[in-house]
Amino acid sequence: MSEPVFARHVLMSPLHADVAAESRTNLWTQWNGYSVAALLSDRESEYQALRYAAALVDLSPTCIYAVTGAQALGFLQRLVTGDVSKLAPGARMPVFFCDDRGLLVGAGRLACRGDNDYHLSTDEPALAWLLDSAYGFDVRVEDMTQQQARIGVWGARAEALLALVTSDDLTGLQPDHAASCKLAGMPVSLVRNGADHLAPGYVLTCDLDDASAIWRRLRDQREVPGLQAIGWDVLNTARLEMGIARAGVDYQNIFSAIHRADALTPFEAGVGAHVDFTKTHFTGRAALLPLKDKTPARKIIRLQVNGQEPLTLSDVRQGDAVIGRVTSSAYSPAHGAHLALARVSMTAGKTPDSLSVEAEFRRNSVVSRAWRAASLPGDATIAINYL
Amino acid sequence: MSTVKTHSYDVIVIGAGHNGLVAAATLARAGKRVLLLERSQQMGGAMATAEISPGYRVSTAAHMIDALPPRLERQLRLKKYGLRYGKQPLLTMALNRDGKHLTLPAGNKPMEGLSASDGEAYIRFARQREGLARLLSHAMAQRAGDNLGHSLQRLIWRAAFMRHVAIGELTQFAPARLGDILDREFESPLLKGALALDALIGQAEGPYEPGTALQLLHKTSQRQGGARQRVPLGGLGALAEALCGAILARGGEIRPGVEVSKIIVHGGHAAGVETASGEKITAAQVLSCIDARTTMLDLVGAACLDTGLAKSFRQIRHRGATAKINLALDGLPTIAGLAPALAGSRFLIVPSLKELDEACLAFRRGGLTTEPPMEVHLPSVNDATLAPDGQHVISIIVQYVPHDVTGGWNTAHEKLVQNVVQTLTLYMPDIASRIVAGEVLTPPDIEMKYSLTQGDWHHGVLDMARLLTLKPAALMEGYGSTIPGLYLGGAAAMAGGISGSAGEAAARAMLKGRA
Repeated sequence: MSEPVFARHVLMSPLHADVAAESRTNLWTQWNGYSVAALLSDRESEYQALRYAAALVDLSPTCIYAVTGAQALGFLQRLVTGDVSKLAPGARMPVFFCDDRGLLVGAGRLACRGDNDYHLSTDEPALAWLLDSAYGFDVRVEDMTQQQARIGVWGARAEALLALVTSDDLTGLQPDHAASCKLAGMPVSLVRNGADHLAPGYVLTCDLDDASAIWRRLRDQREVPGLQAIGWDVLNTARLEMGIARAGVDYQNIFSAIHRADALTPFEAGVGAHVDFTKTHFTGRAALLPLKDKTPARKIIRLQVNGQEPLTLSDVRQGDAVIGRVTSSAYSPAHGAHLALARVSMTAGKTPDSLSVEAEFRRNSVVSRAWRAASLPGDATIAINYL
Repeated sequence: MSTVKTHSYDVIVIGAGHNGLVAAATLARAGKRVLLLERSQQMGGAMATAEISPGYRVSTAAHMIDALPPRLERQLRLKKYGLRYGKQPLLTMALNRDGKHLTLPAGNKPMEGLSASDGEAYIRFARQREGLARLLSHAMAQRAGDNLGHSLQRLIWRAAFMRHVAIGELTQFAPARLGDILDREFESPLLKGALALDALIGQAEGPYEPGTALQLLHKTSQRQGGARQRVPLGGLGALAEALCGAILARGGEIRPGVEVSKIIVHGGHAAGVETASGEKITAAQVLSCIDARTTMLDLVGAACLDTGLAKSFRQIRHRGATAKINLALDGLPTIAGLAPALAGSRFLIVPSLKELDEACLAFRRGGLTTEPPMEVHLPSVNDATLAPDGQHVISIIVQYVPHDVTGGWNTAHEKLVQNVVQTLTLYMPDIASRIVAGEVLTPPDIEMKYSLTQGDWHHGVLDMARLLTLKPAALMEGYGSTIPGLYLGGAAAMAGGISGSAGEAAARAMLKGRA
């Protein structure tokens, strides 16, 4: 990497020109310092592409760290809360890492590529913490973020789309497993999304030089009806349908949090199943052990508020007491309702019921506020994930 | 508790410096089966008496007991095990080239030989210094992890009770530059230089660096505990011997020449040590009195620590700033204007703050100053056993000597000795002709011989945070080490001089079973 980390201004994805060519709105947002499309054409068709056809997403801003060296496994075991030792080459698993107090520093997915050879992908940059954690280990941590391009090929017809562009057989590929294939003669490694992902499909990783050609090759498959490049507005809706919380939005990593209540322990985040106290020492173990069987003090919950009109959601109330606040929300066409994630305090000690949410809405030229009944759709556990 | 029986020892203490010896003696007195392991063949660490030439013996490293509480000496019955002192009290004198020396009085007593305005200013200064140091004494005994809010509240309450000390004075004084305060108060260059050297000896900060006023309060606070500077008969090695006697008499075991290479952590609990020769020794608890950074990062290993904690230990900076020169003399050197009865005093040699500051600037650049500031003592004046009849030994701590000297120590070694002898000649004209033998310990020598990283006496720079609450490292709690069963009792845990305080406090925490 030629640029020092703190000198970044606006970063451009290797696919920026190709994505920009798709844009009919010129609406952009940012992710990890990169310009990413907010909306390329219109919400309805992008949503249709993601849910029922095939959608292309530029995922290059995902942080990727290569972890290699004789003690790579030992380093990772000390870093993350879960047991990494059983991860087989080709497979990947969700991982979470905490500071000394047991508060989340980051979340991501760890892919095993061979003996002491791993790739860690995270939603937010984590290099400083990884380097701090590397002291005392024979391990090399390399930031691969700007050395590769990543394309999400998602949706019900993602598999069919890939079958058109590669002769390699991908039908047997298990979820959360990696494979490599040739796409128009260019080498591509791909991972199949697991069930906890916001959509079925694959994430393709390729060389920077090949990225544009591969994107165009995928984009040109007119036999797949509804194929479209999509932006972040729709991804936001899709993650709320899956109940996926985002760092920096629904919670803050401990280095961004300005108040303890903004940060989460894995238990508060609902990922206590990924904390393994039986393995060797990991950072935050001593702080987390006493919390193991306690009810978390706060939690992220999923909420559904019925109604078709545009709403802005804020406070969450149980009975008459305000217990938390909505952190992100969107209208879901599939549910015909507003979906939200909210961070609430758990004074009652169990999943709250009889909830209402303060909603702001317009009647003609008047903005009104009212408490709307909210329900908890399906299971309220949250998968914290990068995209 | 049934597992305890399977261990050969209750506690293994690592490192037989003053803290390790005091800790082992305290634990042995409490009935614990103690094993004390020391890397070198000699017990005592920087408390060592050795022969520099046949018939001439001297405290080779530290040459005075700074702050060993008299209470501790009584508790451990060190007198019974042979500890005796020479003439007390030991006076501190600022030597002057024209023979008009100053005696630095203890506490807030007035000083003689000053101009009228300096005399008044000194009384004011000494009162303020003693008052503020008393106010801070509790905060200085704080540990990382102690409730900071409580300790600040307590500080304010103490200030309210001690009517003559205002909290506002403390907030002005403590973060200030010591040199600025002295320049403001006094005229006499000698007085200013001596007061600054007295406060900063052994440290890597110069007199005009922010926060050095707090170093003065720290030194003062230590002396207020009743612990005056003393020199045992037979040199500092005699204190080590007395402490060893106290340990052995209570059934403690001492093994010299055993280097610990690893602290065994089993199931998250300290379970013993592994030696460099591969021997595994189990114990219910381990108390390390070597430096905290080495203990945690090398002996325990970063892999057993949380990332943030390991980082806070990595951030402990070691910076040695002194050399030690011991010389054998064929007679007592002449010191102009000094009564013979005072020849055994502690001498501070620096003409003014300017010289002290220049020495520090040279030190910062990795160089040697031509007129180094020094703390000088002639132990044989009050202890005839150290040198043949009528002959003497002189022990010199040279301040502001860099560990990594420009050009390397091979060439700088001779220059250091020359600078020291030439400077001493200004005060003791016949010293050069009286030297019969000598020994020079540069910071790298001190590092090698006494296992002090960078030759730093204090196991890490005594910055403000470490003097007040964050010792031995930020994120630490109490004397424990976040690893159950492992305690830290080295100088990093409670800094400053030969005191044994950190070792005692860690041993007491261990006995009470708290962190």
